[in-house]
Amino acid sequence: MPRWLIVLAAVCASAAAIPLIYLVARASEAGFATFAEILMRPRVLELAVNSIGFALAVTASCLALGTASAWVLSRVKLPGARILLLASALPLAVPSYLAAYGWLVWFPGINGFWASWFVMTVVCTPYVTLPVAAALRGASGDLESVARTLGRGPVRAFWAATWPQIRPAAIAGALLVCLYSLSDFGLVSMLRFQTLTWGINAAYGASFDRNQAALLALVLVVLALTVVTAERRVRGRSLATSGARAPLLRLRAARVPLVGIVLVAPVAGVLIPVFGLVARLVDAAAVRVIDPQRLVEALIATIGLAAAGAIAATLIALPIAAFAARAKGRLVSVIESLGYLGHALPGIVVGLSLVFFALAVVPVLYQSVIVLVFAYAVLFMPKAIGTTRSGIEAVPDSLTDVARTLGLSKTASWWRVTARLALPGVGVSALLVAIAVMKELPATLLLRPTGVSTLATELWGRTAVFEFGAAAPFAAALVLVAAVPAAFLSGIRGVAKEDL
Amino acid sequence: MTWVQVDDLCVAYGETTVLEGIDLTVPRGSLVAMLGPSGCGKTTFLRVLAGLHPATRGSITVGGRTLTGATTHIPAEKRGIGWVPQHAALFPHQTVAENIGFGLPREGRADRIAELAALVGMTWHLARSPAQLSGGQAQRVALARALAPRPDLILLDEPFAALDPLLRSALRVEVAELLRRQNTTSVLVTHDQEEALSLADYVAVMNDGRILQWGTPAEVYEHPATPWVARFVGDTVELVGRWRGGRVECALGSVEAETVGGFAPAANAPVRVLLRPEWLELSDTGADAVVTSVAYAGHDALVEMKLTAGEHVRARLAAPILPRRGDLVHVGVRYRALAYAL
Repeated sequence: MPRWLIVLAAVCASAAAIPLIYLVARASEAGFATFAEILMRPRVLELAVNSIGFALAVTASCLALGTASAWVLSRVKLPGARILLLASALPLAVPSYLAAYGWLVWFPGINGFWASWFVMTVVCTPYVTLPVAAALRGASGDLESVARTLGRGPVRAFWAATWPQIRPAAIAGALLVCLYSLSDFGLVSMLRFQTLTWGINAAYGASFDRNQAALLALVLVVLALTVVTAERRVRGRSLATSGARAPLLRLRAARVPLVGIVLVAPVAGVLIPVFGLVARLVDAAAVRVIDPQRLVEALIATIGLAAAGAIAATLIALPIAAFAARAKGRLVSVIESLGYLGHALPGIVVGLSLVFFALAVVPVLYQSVIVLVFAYAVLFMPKAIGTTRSGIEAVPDSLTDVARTLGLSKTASWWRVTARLALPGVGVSALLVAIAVMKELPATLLLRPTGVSTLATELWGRTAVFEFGAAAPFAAALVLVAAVPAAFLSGIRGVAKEDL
Repeated sequence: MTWVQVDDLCVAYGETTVLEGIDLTVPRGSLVAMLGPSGCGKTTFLRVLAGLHPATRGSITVGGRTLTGATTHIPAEKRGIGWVPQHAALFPHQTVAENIGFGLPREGRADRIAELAALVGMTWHLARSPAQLSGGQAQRVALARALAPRPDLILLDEPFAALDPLLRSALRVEVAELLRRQNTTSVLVTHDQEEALSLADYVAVMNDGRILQWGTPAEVYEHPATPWVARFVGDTVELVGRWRGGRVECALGSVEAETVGGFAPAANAPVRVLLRPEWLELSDTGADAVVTSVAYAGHDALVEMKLTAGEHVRARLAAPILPRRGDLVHVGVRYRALAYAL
């Protein structure tokens, strides 16, 4: 392992830590007394309680709906099972605020906790459905049969024999849901439910109280890091069991309600919002509220930023991935965890702390594209690290060894063999980052240069003032450039659905 | 003529010693098999020879050129040593022709590729991708790729282990012949005794990072340096007996025997008597025994017998005339036995 690679990987990984470090520095500037005082404000407490309650409620409902869907998908004989499985992954391709917009189009009056809870639940359910369905397919059905022969009924046998096998997958999925509900900004602000993310944006907007914004962000980070730590503990704890899969149940009579369970998420999370969007689009075309010039500008800005973000994230991720793929030990896990920090940091937090960072350290770059692209790199680097790393790991050492015995130096054999073979993986990861950048909302709102709008910010801005018709073309463009490629990518082997 | 010379080679991964004081001389043009159980360090030895892993101490000289020494470590790409790994490890993004030509200079590359393809019988598959090849074909290409730059030494790391048994025995004979025809010096790593004994000119038996014995296949099989080597390279029959100067007195009677490696027991001293099952035979004058089991293998059978003294012995007897379980037989010895310290 060349020393320069280790140093480079460490430098790249530390870049990911800048927002967090700066946020802590900025918050401690305010002093402990101010901190305690702000923390005790009833408003702050209310926001924190709202965030936690929202996250817990969404997690619980996703866990129930996702596990039930997964059970139906992998244990019941259904017509078109393959299509149902694909459909159940679809909500992942739709950003949460787009689903919220789609619902608002139908029911402009909905708002508050219950509306947010419902839409967030249907959007996030696949995070539980997919891993649990996979775990159920891998779980041995023999254990459940044994439990039945020992006198347990079907439900108790499932609970005693199969649930322990799928529990790690279910809990890991549920904790991801919890993280995303805590971090979500677009959906809750469109549906007017005031959580910490909403509070951070509001406090930042009211520029006289940036201390409060920083402290709210700190509270949110602590919550998010707690959830991520828990998720890491649970992940990968599954018990390997061998044995035959459970046979598919033939439940003719119950088919319709069972398929209904599976369809709740894709219908409510994708179908209804997209139909609403299309209806509005047709209306808008009829009454000519579409502003083609703004649309084209936003589209160009979105694609340009996505490309820049993808390149930046991939370049920063590459040394970390190359290092992590080939080395073991504490240093690697520290560097890799730093690289994954962006996964735990809510977009609004990264946006806010980079505002502070730019203002204090590099004022020239404040409100420049560079800081925005850097924010994207920090936020979405984990997607690039994972895919790139597994691409590099898939290249067996023996290939580079052979190349060396045939006369290539270490570096030359890395480029001609490892890099060449890992290229498709790197390409996929760049595409994943690009899609994520196009859907990103809160950090873009805070960091975008004056006059620059993306499809997401245009959609958000117009929805906030109830201009649903004028928002429709932006939403449609977003579906075309981000959601559709995401849906296609989900069909590629080796692409984690959770990365979409 | 000595071509490869390894002196006092030591390798350690951190605190753990993997190879300890390996000495080896390989004559030019010969095929040497490194035979040992998995984890004995034989693959590490190959990687150190190739320059893919550093040595802690010792020296390696090939064709008079020092590759590893007290102050020298020539990197893998400058050693001129070809390597055929276990799973062929063909570059999946290149065709068969590109794989064979990987280590060749641009000039004359096409000719050399054609020449090697003909040598390993892959002329008609040059445009294929590695994914389209069978296991045996992939190994042939890997061999051609290693031979292409005319290396001073070829290393083969269990190249036949992943193939199915029928293909394995056909291919290894073919490869050994091809290497001899090219007058290539080669080192083959294997844990398969049959492979080592049947292919190699010399066998080095390894365990725990040391070479326990070095010799021709017959020497290693018939004069194993220790009982461990004897058990590792083949089946053994072991008894306790008393040394009577050139003979041993044991449950099989008085048997002609010799000692190995300068072992000189006193008269009447107890020794470990070691035989191969095929050194036993059924004869009218042998010791009395009862057949307890017959493991039939077609061409021969391994017959287990209980001697009247209580010991069990196994004899490999040629089929088809075989005793049956329960038969009373007489067991004789048709080759001299070996005596080791108890």
